Amino acid sequence: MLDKLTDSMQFSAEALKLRARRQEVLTANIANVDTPNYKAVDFDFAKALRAATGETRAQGELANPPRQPGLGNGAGALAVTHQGHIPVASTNTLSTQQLLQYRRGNNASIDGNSVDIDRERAAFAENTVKYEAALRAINGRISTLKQAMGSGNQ
Amino acid sequence: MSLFNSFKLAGGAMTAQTTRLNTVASNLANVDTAASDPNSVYQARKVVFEAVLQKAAPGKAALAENVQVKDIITDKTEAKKMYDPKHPMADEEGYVYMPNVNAVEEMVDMMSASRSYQTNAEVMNTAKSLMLKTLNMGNQ
Repeated sequence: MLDKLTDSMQFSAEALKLRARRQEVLTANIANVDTPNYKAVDFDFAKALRAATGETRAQGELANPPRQPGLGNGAGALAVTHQGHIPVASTNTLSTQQLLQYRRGNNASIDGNSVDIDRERAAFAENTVKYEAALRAINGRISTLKQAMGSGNQ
Repeated sequence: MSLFNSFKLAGGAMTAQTTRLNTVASNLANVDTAASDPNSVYQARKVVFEAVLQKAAPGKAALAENVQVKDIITDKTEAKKMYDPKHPMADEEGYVYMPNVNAVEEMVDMMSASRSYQTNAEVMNTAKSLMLKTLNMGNQ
């Protein structure tokens, strides 16, 4: 029952988590703008979100033949092997770590640094706005639920 | 939580840029410090940054978790030798040695350091306001 209430927010929550993660990645690039031999990194947000939400959906439904522990799940995920088990979504830090790539298309400067500060700042600003968008989606969902819960009392 | 790491990163970068700015100040302050011996003349200092990387699988890109000053190196190029017999620091042959500091280069370094500092301060502010908004989730 409670699951159904929060399930609708799951997608936005995953998006928010990934936006926070990307914010960190872009901060790392901006912080290392003067570090010799530093290579700018980033990850494909769409791919990461697909991986994160696909994973939770797969774990949300209970597999009929109980899954082998440690098999078929992402690394570090808790296996659901009993009817009474509550599925726990694995933390997606591991998957974003795996999705992390060096940014291509930038020519490294003479000290081997490949951070383009204009590009990073633009991406940072974009990510900030999209983080707030995800936050607003969750807030909207919460206020909708609150309204639905409160309407009977009036 | 990822946004807390942003504080650490931006803070580390600000500390590193401050060190760089201090080094520039030291170089600029000593731009005219003459010496009568080429070995005792002031040498320009340069800061080298280093990224502290998180552990990553081999062959995968690693994310930086902090920036720090790796080393402060001294510029080994030769001191400027000037013929000025009236200078109080002149040696027997009438030469004084001036530091190898390039004032224009230092000014450029100063601008770059202060811009980077500013950018990181802004990043920190953004992270802070995002966190405060997140704390307010569902409370409207």
